[in-house]
Amino acid sequence: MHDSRRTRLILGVLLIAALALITVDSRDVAGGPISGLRGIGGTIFGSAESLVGSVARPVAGFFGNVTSGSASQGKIEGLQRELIRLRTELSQARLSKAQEAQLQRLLVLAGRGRYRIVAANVIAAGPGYNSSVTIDAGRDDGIKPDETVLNGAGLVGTVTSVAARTSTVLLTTDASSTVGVRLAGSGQIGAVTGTGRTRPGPAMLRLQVFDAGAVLQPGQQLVTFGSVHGRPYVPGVPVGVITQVRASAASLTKFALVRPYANEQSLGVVGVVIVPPRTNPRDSVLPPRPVTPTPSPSPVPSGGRSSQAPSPAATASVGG
Amino acid sequence: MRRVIFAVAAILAAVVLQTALLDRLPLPGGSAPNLVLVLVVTLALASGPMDGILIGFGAGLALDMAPPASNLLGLSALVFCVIGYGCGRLRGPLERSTWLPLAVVVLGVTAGEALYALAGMIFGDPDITWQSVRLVLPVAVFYDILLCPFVVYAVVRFSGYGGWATARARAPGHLAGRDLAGAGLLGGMAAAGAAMAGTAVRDTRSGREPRLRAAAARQGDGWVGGRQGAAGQRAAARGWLRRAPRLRARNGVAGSAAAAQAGLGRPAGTAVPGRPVQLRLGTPRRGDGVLGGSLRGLVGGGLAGPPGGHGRESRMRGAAFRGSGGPAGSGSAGGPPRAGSSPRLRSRAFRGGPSALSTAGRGRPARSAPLRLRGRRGDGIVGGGVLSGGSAGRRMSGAPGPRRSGRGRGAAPRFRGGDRGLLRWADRVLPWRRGTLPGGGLPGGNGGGLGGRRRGFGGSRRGGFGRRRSAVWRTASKRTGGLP
Repeated sequence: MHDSRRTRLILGVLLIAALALITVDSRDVAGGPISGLRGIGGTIFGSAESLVGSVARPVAGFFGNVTSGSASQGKIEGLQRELIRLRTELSQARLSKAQEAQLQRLLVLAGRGRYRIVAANVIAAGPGYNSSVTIDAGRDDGIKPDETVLNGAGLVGTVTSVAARTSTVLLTTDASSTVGVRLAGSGQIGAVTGTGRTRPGPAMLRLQVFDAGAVLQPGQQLVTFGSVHGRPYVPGVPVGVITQVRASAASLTKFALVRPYANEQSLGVVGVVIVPPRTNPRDSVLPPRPVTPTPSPSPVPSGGRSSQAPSPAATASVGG
Repeated sequence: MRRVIFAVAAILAAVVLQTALLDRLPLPGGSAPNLVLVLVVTLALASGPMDGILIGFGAGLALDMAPPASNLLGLSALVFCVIGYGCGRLRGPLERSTWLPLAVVVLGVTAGEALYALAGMIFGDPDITWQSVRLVLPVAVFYDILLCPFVVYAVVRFSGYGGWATARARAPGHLAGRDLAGAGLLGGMAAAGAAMAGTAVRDTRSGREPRLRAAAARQGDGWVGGRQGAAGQRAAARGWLRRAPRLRARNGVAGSAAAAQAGLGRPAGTAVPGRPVQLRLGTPRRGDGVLGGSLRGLVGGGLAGPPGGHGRESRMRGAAFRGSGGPAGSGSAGGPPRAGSSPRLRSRAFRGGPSALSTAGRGRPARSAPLRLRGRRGDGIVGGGVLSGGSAGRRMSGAPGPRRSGRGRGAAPRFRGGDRGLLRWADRVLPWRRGTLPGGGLPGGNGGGLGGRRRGFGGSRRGGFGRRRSAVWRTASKRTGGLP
C-alpha cells in the first residue's frame, strides 16, 4: 500500500543482486569478487568480534561469582567486598588456568606431532546452520587458507578464509567438511563428514570406510590421513572415536558415527598448524584410550614410535 | 537522518552480537536466535516497505559477510530483503491494533526463518537439508520469538522518540528514493527543516497511491520545511496566520504533485490529468499567495527565482496540503486572505494548519475539533511546517500554531507519520510513551498535545476515519473534491 512502482523496482533490483551474489559464490571463483567481499567483512566485523570477544570472555568468566550482597554494617560490606574481590581474582585465575591448561595440552599435542602452530582464541561462531568459527589470528600471524586447525583434544577444522587479524575456520562437524582419516591400529582409510545440525545433541561425524571388508568397532580411534603438502589437513591429528557402527547390508561401504575429540561447543584456545610435521606422526599423538563400555578386541594403538615426546617448548612455537 | 544512522548502527551491532555472542551460547536445542532477522522485521515494520527492502538487504549482506559465515554469500540478503519488504507492507494495516504488531513481528520472524531454510535448500547449501531444518527451524523460531519483545522494545525505546519520529518521517523519503528535492535544494537547510520536509513527504504520500507518487517529497515540501527551520519560518508562520492556505482536500493527489513538478521543471502531465496542473499554475490561489508572499517577503528573493517560480512553489505547497482546497481556491484568486470567507468549512476540512489559521484570523477560539488531529494527509504537511518550523521546534507563544485551535497543544496538527505501526503500538503498550506521540516528530514541543489527541481519537487515520468521519468532513471533502 505504501509502496510504489519504484519500491518494487528496487526490490527487484536487490533480489537480482542477491541472486547474482549467490550464483557467483556458488561458482566458487577463487580470488573473485566474493572473496573480496568476505575479506572486507572479515576486516570490519572481525575486529569488532575480537573486541567483543576479548571483553566478553572475562565477563563471562566471573559473572557467576559476583553476587550482590547488601548489608547495613560497613564492616560486613567491607568483608564482602573483599570476598568478592578475592572470588573474582580466583575465578579469573581459574579462567586463565583453564585457558592455560588448554594451551598446554595443545602444545603437548603439537610437540608430540612436531607441528608448528599458531595459537588463537575462538571469538565468534557461525550463524544459522553453519558450523564455523572465527579465530583471532589472521594473515598478520602467518595464517593462510587451508591450514589445519586443532586444539588440545584433536582436530577442529580447517581455515577457509583469512583476513588481516581474523580467520574463519570450517569445523569438521560442518556438513560440507570431509576429512580423510585412518583407523588407528588397523590403518584402514576412510572419510569422515560432519553431520551438521541433522542430529539432535552434540555434533557428530559420519565415517565411511572405503574397504568393504573393514571391521569397525565402537572405540576405534581415528587420525587424519593427511593431504598433499598438509593442506588442508596435516596427517596424524586425532579426530575422534567410533561410537556406533551402522550396519547396512545394502551399501558397499561401512558407516559409523564418530564422536569428535574436540567439542564444538567448548572451543577456546585452538592452534593453526603453519608447518606440518616432516614425517607423519601416525597415531602416536592419540590421547590415552578412553574407557569404553564395550571391550573391543582391537589392541590399543601401538604408541611405540615417538611416544617419548620432546618438550613442547622446544618444538612448538606459539605465536599470536 | 538520525533514523538511518540508528538503523545502520543497530544492524552492525546486531551482526557482531549475533556472531560473537549469540551463536556461541550453548543453548539447548543446538540453535541460536537470529537477532538480525528479528531486528530487520522490527525495523521494517516500523518504517515501511522501501526501508524494509534496504534494511533487509543490507543486514543480510552484512550477516553473509561477517567472518564466520560460510553459507552462500547473498542468501541472507535475499531472504531478509523479501522479509523486509513484506513486513514493511504490513505496516499500514496494523495501525488499528494494539497487539497485532507484535504478532506480526512473530509472524515475520517465522516466515524469515522458514524462507531462509527454503532458499538454502533450493540453492543446495550442504548444511541446510531437510533433516537439519526439521531440527533447527522450530528451535530457532522459538528463540527468535523469545527475543522479539526485547528487540521491539529496544527499537521503540532507543531510537528516541523525537528523533525517531523525525528520522522516521524523513527516512522514508530519503531511503525511498523519493528524493527530498526540497532538502537538496535548500542545501543548508537546518536539520529541523529536513525533518519537516520528511514529514511532509511522508504525510503526503501516506494517502492514496497517486498522491504517493506524485506528491511525494516535492521541493515544495522542502521549501516549507526549510523555510521553517531557517529564518523563513517566522514569515511563513505569519503568512499562515493571515491567510488560509488553500488546501486541497484529499484529492490533492497527482495534481499537487504535478503542480510541484511543473514548477520544478518536471513535466506536469506526468502525474495526472493536466487539469489540476493547469489550475494550479494558471490561477493564483490563495494558498499560493500565502506561501509565496511569505517567502518573498521574509525569506527574500534569495531562495526564490523569478516571481513566477515563487508562485509555483507556493502553489505546490498549497497542493501539498490537503484540506479544503475548494473553499479557499474558489474564493481567493491570490487576493488577500479572506480569513473569514469560509472559515468553518475550511477549518474542518483542513486539519490543523488551515483551520487554525482561519480560526486565528477570526479570533475565535473555534472548536478545535475541526483541527482534528487525526486529519488527513495533508495536515501533516501544513501543520508540521508551521509548527515545528519554529526553528527550535518550540512553539512560540505568539506563534499562530498554538493559537489556532484555542486549545493549545491540541491544535497542533498531527503528523500522520508519527503514529503508525510499531510506534503507535508502542504508544499504547508502553505506558510512559503515552502522550509523547507523533508530535514527537516535531523537534519541539507539540508532542504532548498531539499524543493526547491522537489517543483520544484512536489515532490512526484509518481508525479515525471510520470513527470520526463526520458529516462535516464529508461535506468538506466533497466540496474540495471538486478541486483537481
